[in-house]
Amino acid sequence: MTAAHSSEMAAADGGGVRSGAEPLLSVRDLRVAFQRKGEPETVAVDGVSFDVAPGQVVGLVGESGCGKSVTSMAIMRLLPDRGVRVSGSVLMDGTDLLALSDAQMRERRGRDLSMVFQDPLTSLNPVIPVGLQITEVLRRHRGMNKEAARRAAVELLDRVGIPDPRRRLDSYPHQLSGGMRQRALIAIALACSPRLLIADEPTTALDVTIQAQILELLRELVRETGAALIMITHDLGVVAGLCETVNVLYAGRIVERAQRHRLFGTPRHPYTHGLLRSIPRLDSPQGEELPAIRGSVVDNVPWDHACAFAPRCPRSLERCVEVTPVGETSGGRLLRCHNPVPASAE
Amino acid sequence: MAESSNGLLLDVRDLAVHFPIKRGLVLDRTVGHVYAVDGVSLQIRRGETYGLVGESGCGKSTLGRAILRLVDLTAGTVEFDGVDVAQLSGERLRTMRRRFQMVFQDPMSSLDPRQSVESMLVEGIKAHGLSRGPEADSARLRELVDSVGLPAAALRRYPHEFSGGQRQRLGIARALSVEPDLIVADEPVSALDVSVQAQVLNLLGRLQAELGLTYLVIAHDLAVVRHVSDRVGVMYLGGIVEEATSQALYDDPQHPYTKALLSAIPVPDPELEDQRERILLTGDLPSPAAPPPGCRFHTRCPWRQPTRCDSERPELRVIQGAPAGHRVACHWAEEIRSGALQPHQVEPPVAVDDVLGPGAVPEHPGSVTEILGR
Amino acid sequence: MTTTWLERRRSRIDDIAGGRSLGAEAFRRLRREPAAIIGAIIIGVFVVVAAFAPLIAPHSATEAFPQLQENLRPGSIPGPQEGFPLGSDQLGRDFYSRMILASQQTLLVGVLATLIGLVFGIVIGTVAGAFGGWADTLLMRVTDVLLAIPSLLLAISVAALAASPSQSTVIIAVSIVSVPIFARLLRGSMLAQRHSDHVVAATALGVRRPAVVLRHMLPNAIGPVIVQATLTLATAILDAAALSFLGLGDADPGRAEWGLMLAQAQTYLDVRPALAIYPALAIIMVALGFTLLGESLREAIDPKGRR
Repeated sequence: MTAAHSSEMAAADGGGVRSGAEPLLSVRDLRVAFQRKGEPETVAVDGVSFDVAPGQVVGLVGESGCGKSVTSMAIMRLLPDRGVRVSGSVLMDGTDLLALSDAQMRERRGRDLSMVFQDPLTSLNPVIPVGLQITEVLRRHRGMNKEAARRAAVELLDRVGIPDPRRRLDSYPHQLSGGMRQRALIAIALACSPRLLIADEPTTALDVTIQAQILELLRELVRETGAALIMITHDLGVVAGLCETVNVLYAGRIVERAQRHRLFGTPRHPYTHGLLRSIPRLDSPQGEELPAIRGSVVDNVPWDHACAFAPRCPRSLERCVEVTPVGETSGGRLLRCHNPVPASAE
Repeated sequence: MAESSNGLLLDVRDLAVHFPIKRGLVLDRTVGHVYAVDGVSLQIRRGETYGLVGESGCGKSTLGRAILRLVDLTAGTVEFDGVDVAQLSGERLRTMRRRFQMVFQDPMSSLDPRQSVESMLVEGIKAHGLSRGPEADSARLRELVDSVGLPAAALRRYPHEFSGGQRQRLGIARALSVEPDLIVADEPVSALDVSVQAQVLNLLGRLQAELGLTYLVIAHDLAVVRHVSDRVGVMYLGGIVEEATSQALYDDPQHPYTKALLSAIPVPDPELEDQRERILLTGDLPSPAAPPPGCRFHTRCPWRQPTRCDSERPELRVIQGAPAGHRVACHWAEEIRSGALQPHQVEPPVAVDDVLGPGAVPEHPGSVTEILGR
Repeated sequence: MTTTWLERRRSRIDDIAGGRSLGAEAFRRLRREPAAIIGAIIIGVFVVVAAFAPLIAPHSATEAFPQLQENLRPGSIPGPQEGFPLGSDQLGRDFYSRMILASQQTLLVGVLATLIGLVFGIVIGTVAGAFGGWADTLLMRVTDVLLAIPSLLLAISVAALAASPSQSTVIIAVSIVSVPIFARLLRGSMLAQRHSDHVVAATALGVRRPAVVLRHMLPNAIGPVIVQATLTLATAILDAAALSFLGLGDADPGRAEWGLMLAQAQTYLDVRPALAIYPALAIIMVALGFTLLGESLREAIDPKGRR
């Protein structure tokens, strides 16, 4: 176990960071376990390590239950204290966010790093006008007076593409459409010009045409503000057009990481490979049987002495259920597999 | 897929579903209508798969449920195998239900949590007098679960003991239990994990080949719809704006909305994503309680022209040079196709308070259900 | 060897011992809940005592004992002594036996009143929730009116309407109070069921309407009502006690009933407070037992509601 982790950490040091750039955020060996009374501990995130460079867009992709959202909540320190055990480290500017006091973390949230959630309706306070929710952040974190905060809020709403921002300040969340709410939420997240934005399935609740608008907005914001973005999604398509580096999560561990062109061009892990082939694509030959991955996540085995994906994997070997595969990096690609798809398979 | 059978199974004409919006404490007062489906005609041949695609609030689910008579129709006819289902009621409607079934989006909520799989499958068989004695029935049940790829042991179990994909298989088995001709699948895979979606799509395809089923597949995901369907109808705000074979729709989209929809769908291919030209629509879907006059898409259309678009509602028609089955509801389809008209910038519409007054309805509701507060 | 292990993993679905219904799951959760166990023990003791009261109680409820009456004088009521573990009541009867025999009355009133209320509430709630329309409007307006009146006041009014106070008026009064609560609750969850996918699915399957209502809607809607019934049992016992306390119960002053005993004891509160404390404690304990069980039942049935 320890051997596996240390070698992975060594591997992760190179992975995902553009050469020369100091990482803005370093997640090292992050482990999150949930403990419920009378039930065995469940490990949601199991030794995840990755880096984010300033201005970089990093994707965390996986299905429900793979631990992608828990990872983001752990980074933001938004998990409840009771019944949750978080270990590892999340380094930002040399300080471990996990070791900060609650007050210190509150200070950093919004200013250094902030988050956009999946459901904009439940993450906005329904009884407070949108404008007030933005100015509140501005006044608390940036010490603005009422007038200045209001002016800045109008600017922010305009920046995220909300038409008629001055009027919108007094709108309540339910008076806005889903897309507008998500824009308002992004405006709140951007209020203090954070250097890192974490977007957790920001477009899942939205329609495709609205999703396209929001993705375009995120792309612009990253380009213009220079903030880094961690994009968490289950949609490989979203990642393909947005993220420089893509981490594929399965059952709480990163099974493959590469630069997006390489990951989508030559997926090596059988899970990534199988997933990409099983999705019906707009440009794929139609009507044919899709090469589906068998089973579902309930068929997973624990990582202890095996690869969690082995029962579903078409390439699984005996070794896959005897030895936990270790994450190994070669040529900028992290791969956790005993029997990866040959690089020339595509 | 099945070219041999050319008979129409389903013929829907001018179907409309308008939900009244009611207010009032003691006596409900109708203060407006949600025009969920507003004049849709479509034909489905036996053995064919017709795909219906559109964003939330476009009325595609309501259309599917109206065809199955699960919501009340405001106008129009639904001819199923020569019988106008819209006119049926009571026992005649109930017995007719055997022939058209539904597969739901959420496999958990669409299964009764207190009913074992066996009792669920027996229910339909009993309700339509298809029972052939206990032994034949139990053989039939085993065959049913087997046909959706589950072991016979599944019969004893309860819905919560299955994974999402397995539950959706059970939903399909329930639909099959009464040996229907038509299956309306409303977002059959959108609630499932990505790695499981392909299994269910494959299953639907296999069952169609084996049993000669006819499908109406409703989904927001054009890639899914295109993959399974022979023909596709694109819906926008209660009406079909374009209809074509699924290949033609992808190769030669003629309606501005279809173009925008196609360009908005992310493809898991970075090379393609980098090169694609995106047609970004501004603004949101207008409220189906107060749909814009004329072409319903004109408020967001990058090809909008000063004449006709905002005054005259376009009909579905075949434009010159297009194959017979490719119909589009756009006044300027020829000019757009030839390149004579180019897209332009659209200013997002400033929201107007609608008939109900401010605060009565969300100004840009995401869906019909949101308006009705259900 | 490992491949066979892999194979086994792959066909795992066959190995799971299945067939556990939701009810069984809820019971399993209930058994691990300490509050439920405490509640169940209290209720169990209470029911056993009530059922075997004539065997447990050493004396009858009405028999006055000369050896107790001897020491009975204004300002003094005999306390515990040989043969009378709780001493005498204000009339020289065995207080211990009366306490035990009273449990029968309480159980009878509580259970009967709740059952009657439950039956009527379920009928009204089902009709209103399943069919809607004018039947729904009418029934719900009536229940709204009943709900608007404070429950005890309503029970008092109903009991006062009766020609002469008796045990059955108490039962009827207490059950009428609970009818609108059950009806409202059931109607609400029936309405939710009416729009749920699995009910639509049953309709789409061609299942007859009565079967849809009774087989799919009612069983899924009734959970909260059952939980409410256990909670109502507690309040029914309290209400019945209150009615007796106010003199609206059985006119026979010799009858053993906790509420009545509490009422009668108030005159002697400074002489012998035990006469009031024991019946009060008994009422509180039983009400607590039902509340604990009801609350944990609610959590067990709906695990999503857990914090």
